[in-house]
Amino acid sequence: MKTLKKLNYYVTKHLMLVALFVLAFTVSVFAQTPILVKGIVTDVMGMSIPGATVLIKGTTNGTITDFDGNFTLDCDLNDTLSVSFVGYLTEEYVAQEGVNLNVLLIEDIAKIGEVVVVGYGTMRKSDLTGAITSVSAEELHKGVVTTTEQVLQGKVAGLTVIKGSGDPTAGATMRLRGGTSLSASSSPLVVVDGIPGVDINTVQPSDIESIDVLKDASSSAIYGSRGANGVIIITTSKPKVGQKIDYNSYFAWGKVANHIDMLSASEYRALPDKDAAISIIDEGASTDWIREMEQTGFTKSHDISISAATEKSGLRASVNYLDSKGVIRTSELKRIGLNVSAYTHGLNDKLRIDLGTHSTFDKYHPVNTGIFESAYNQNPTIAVYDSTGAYNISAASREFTPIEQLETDIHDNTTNRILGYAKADLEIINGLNIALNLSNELNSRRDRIYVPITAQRAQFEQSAIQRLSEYNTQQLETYATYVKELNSNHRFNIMGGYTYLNTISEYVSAKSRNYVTDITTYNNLEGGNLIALGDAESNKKENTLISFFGRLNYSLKNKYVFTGTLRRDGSSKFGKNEKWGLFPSAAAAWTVSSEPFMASTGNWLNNLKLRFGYGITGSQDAIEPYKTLGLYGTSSGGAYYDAASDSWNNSYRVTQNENPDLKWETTTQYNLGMDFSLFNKLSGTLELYNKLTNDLIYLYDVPADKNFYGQTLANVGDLSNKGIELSLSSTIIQKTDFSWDVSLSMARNILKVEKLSNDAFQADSILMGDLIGINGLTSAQSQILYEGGSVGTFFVPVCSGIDSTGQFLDKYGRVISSLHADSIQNEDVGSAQPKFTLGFNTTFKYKNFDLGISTYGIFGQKVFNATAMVLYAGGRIPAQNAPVDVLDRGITDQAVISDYWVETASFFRIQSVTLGYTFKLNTPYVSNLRLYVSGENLWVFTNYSGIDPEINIENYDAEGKLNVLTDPGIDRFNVYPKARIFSFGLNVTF
Amino acid sequence: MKSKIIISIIVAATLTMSCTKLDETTYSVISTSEYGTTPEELTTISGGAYATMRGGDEGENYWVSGEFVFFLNEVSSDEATIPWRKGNNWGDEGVYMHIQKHELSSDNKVIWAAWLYCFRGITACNLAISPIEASDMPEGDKLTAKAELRGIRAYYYYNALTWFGNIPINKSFPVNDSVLQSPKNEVYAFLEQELVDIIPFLQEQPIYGRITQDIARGLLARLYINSENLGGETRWQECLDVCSEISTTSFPLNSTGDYFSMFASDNTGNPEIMFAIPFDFSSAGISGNYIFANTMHYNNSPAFSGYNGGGNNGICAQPGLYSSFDPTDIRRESLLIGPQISIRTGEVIAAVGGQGNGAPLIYTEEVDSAFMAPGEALGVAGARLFKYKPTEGQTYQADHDFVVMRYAEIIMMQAECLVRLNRVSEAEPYLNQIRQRAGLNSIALGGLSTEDQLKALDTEWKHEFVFEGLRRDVNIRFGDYLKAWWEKGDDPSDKYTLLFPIPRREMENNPKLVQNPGY
Repeated sequence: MKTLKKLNYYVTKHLMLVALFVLAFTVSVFAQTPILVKGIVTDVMGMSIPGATVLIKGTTNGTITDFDGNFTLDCDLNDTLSVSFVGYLTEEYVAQEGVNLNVLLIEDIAKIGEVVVVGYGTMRKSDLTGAITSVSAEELHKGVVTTTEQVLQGKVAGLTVIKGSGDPTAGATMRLRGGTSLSASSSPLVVVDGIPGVDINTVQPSDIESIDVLKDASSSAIYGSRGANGVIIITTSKPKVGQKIDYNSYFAWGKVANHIDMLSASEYRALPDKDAAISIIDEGASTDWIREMEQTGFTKSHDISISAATEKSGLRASVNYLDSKGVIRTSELKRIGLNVSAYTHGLNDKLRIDLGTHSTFDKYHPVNTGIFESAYNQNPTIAVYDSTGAYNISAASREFTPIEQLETDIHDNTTNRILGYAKADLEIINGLNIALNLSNELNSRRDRIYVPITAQRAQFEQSAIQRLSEYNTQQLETYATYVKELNSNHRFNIMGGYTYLNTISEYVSAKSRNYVTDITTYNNLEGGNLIALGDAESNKKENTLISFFGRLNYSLKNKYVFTGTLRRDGSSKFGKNEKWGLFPSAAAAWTVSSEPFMASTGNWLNNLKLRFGYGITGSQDAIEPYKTLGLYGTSSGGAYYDAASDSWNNSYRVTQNENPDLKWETTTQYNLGMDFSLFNKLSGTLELYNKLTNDLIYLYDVPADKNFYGQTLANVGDLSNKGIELSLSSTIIQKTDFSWDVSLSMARNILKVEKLSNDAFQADSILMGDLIGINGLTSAQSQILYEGGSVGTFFVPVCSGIDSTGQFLDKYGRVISSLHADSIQNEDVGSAQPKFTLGFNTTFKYKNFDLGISTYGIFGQKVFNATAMVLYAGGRIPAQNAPVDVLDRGITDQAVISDYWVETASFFRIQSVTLGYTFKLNTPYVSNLRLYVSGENLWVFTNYSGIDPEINIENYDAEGKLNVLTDPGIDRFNVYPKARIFSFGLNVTF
Repeated sequence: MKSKIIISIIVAATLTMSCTKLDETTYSVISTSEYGTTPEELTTISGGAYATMRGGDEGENYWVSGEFVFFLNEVSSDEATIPWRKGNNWGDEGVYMHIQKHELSSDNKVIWAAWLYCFRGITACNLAISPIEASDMPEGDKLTAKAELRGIRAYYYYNALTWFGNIPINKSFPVNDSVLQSPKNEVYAFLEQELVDIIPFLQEQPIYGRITQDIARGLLARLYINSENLGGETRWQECLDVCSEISTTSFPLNSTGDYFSMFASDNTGNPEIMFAIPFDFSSAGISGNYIFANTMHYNNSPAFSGYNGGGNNGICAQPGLYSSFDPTDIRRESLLIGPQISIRTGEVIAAVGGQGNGAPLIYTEEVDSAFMAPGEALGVAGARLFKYKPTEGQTYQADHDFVVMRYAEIIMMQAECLVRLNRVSEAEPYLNQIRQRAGLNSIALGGLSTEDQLKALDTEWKHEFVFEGLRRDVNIRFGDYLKAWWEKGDDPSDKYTLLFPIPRREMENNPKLVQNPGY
């Protein structure tokens, strides 16, 4: 109730502000002499273009073509009408009465006229000075997409999207130009329909109209302290004039794409024949533990959207349904998406109001990835079930039976994401608009877990757990835009605004233990017999971000463009003296090809534009609230015994050291870019950048003799990313019956730790890359962070081979496993950071057929194959299973860390091949019908010996937040295998 | 028009400027400056000083009953070992092997854990002491309020002194930056003075799990009996004197049949226990005492009624320890050896884990080449710790309070000091009280050579307190610590291995720390 009051107060307060804006102006009214213009818009192939914009030049009045490309528009006689559509050159016509306009739009290979969504507004592509890549809906990756990041995989030079797990319930990681923080998320900021900071999975792929990726600081600095990792702006589908119903559906079947070849029961039994010294434990059965866990994954998806719009008002709504059963039994994701957007005009069309909501409701069952290790370890001669049908708990096994773990794992999660927004845009005078955006985003996740009494793992803890975490963000953004053209030589685009963001996150968790019955599972928390101290937990956090921002874009003679932005951010999360930060940027662009001296090249060089930008961005999300304070609190397991009352009470102790000087991580970035198009066929962009992040926030060890809490969050160190990106696209063939498009993106990024110390904190190097969970290596680390090195640098002994007794030798010929820790010679043997990334996409169209191929590759990254290190270790047989070639390797040593296990995991993946057929129907009932078949993850070209070279690069920070830079590239057992998927789909429009 | 724009900008600016409040509102966290103002709040901070005795895992795992603290005393002595077993179990890059062989480096994480255990504990005490000092309590009340916390701190300082010797003496929080390490003998003097000073202000009557007068005396006695090593000169008489001040009735020795009740799952309040660190995994939401699971073989569970916690197959006895017990000595049961029989089937359990070839699970006293070839020791090698016995329904983490000091230790100290002071006939009753309780015959010390008298005492210490974490000090006191035994060679002649190195991590974090000599 308190929150609601606060919300009311907050909304009222800011609404008043807008009201005053409105009152401060009077609405101008212009005289009109109306006529009605009708027309049809088509492309050179004679195909009608639906959704093209027809505008009365110099106003915001206009309409959009309907599905057949037709439009009607009220305007004045002799008005200039401009007709535009994304990807086509804009045409202008003079309005005449009684004439049916036949508008022919020509494809714009250089995409000059395209409007690009930038932070707080849109801009003509020709006016851009920053590095921005736009991806249209058509270009996005399609297929079985269970997490929205996947649509961008391999599509944008410099943007790496990794989904290391085949689990439909698992997320993906996005990294743009390397990543900037050692302790905070390196995920780009996601902006949905102008609302910054939205969970990307709130939007479903079928509702995306286009995505613009702001890569350099001059374009992302308008987001100031939120923009250091780049910005991904998603524009969702909007109502189109006319009415239509779209229905898309697919059914997909998946199989595990790759396996580690473990010994089958018969191969295991045959081991003593190969080597008499080997004894085995034969339990008599034949079980392939990995395949016992697998199933044919099946995904079905239905999307339906309706759209109805006139020139002034529109409504679009869609419902998505996805049910994806993974290739490992029991794993499942069910998602319902619900989206509504509506707009209308008022105040004599000077005011536009947009209301909308995006929401998704997920139910899912994640599998406990520990089962994979159990399955690799389990002796293949053990039966899954005993003669009575019960789980066969074999005395010959150290493992919890994998199938028992899988089938008794009661774990049901729900995640709901609800984004609602209201926007108002008021034209004050011609060219001056004021916008107000209000939004509320609620993300909640609920976990329900139950360990049955009979489960083997109940010996550790038998309990029911329910957890709820809620994350609510309210934002108010208001800004004014003024666009002015002074004759045709000077064009100004000025924007200034203010934003207020408030986030409250709450968490509650309760556990109850020692049940006597499994009947109620997690639904009856009072049914357990024990609720221990610490079994009930909750917390609440709040933070506020306030920003002032402005941008000036000036275009001179359509050749020289200058942009400057300034943002001042204040965050409640930082210490008193460090709350405010200033984030400036400046950029310039020069369209060389428009110069008179370039006239002679005009026949082949259609466009050549050079850009240079500089800017400073910050990392507001680098820390959680309250991180600068010294804190007292109870800590889990911190109870003390009070003999007087014979009871256990909570103790309070220091749970965080104070650091009032903690400040933002700031990233300074330079970007040099070139856009070009040649022969009206090939267009491309080349970018060079240099990013330096200062004041890295890291949880540093502090001396135990001076602190109770062993680590303090501090600004220590610098990190740099330097790189080059090239994007090329070409329509190689464009004929009436046949067309062929290709696009290619390539990027190289070099990430380097420049500094690790400051005056108070000193470290020559920090060891990381923990191998926790690997037998005998509990406290071992495999990576190092040092000045001049990369993040994820493997730091291990160099192995010169395996001696005749099966032991690893280092390069001095010493048996590594016999060395003392201090005589082991570790070396930098390469980093988990990719050296080069590539995306290649091509589309063929022949008559009614279309064929699309999407591929991507990541090259030069090292992976520590800890899975192989453990599976090939000596002494696994007979208790544990081993790979089929275990004897060939002949390793007798235990798991020994060395570069023997560090592999280059370069790969190139055929991500999808889709063949479609569009029916040209001449019926009033169905306007479009397309059927397609698609194959995903068809082939991976790699020398990597593990199950899949695409290893998760993310890690969790202390708060459990995803996508921290540290500890990348370690292949552990616990990888849910990727699937190879075949699907059949249907797109139909009514 | 222009004026309208200007007005609107002014209005907008005025309004937005007012929305720039950026103070943090706290809900579920408590800022340091807000806490510790009421007696109740202070009690919770003192409680933290006790809770810290169980250890923790920030930075490195330093649970008192775990691999890194308790095991350090055990494995560096001639009592226990953690073999590097087949299947690369307990290799951990040789950290246990190096401790066993006294081949110590400042990188050894077990030693880092020991440092963390001491100094987290010391700081936890100072966290509670400083607000008391700052309060407006009368000076006399302050002394009483601080005495118990200084007593807990003395326990940590004792450990830090015997492990690291030259350490910083921190008496308040926040720590004054100018505090540097004090030499070992000064730390010794400080600790002695602390204990002497606080005794009058401590509670006289025993309170289970709390530092009372007799516990402080017990700590002082420990300091004195180990004085030759820790302080530079022997102080047997002082030890004897302080032992005699300890109540002879508060902590009566258990009867022969009740010997193991001190280590039972429900040992809370057991009469003989002077001081224990309470554990109650089942209901207190804390980490349990997992010594039992750490020593038992992976497949051992079916041998124990209602035990369902599995095992880690770690620490075990060095060869010769088990057979050094007289067969009639009830304390021999402190070690587990031989075939492990499944209660359900009546058959010997098959050992699978680790070396696991399905061979019968029969613990052998012999440990085959624990470290000669790392990773080769058999999974069944070594007699297991069996003092903390499992109970019905026990899981991996157990409820046994971790015994730190019990009255038998006071009796043994008296026996030893009297022998050391050549008052052998007076020593006999003390020693024989312990022996008789163990089911053994009395021994006539008078008839033995001095060497054999000491040997008898050493043996008694070994058997009475097997796997109670005292062995390292006893080995040092009896001159055995630096000698070669089992797989350990002679220590370097300059005796620097009597102290552990200051952990490298800590020296990096606090560049003012100076490494102990020899490292």
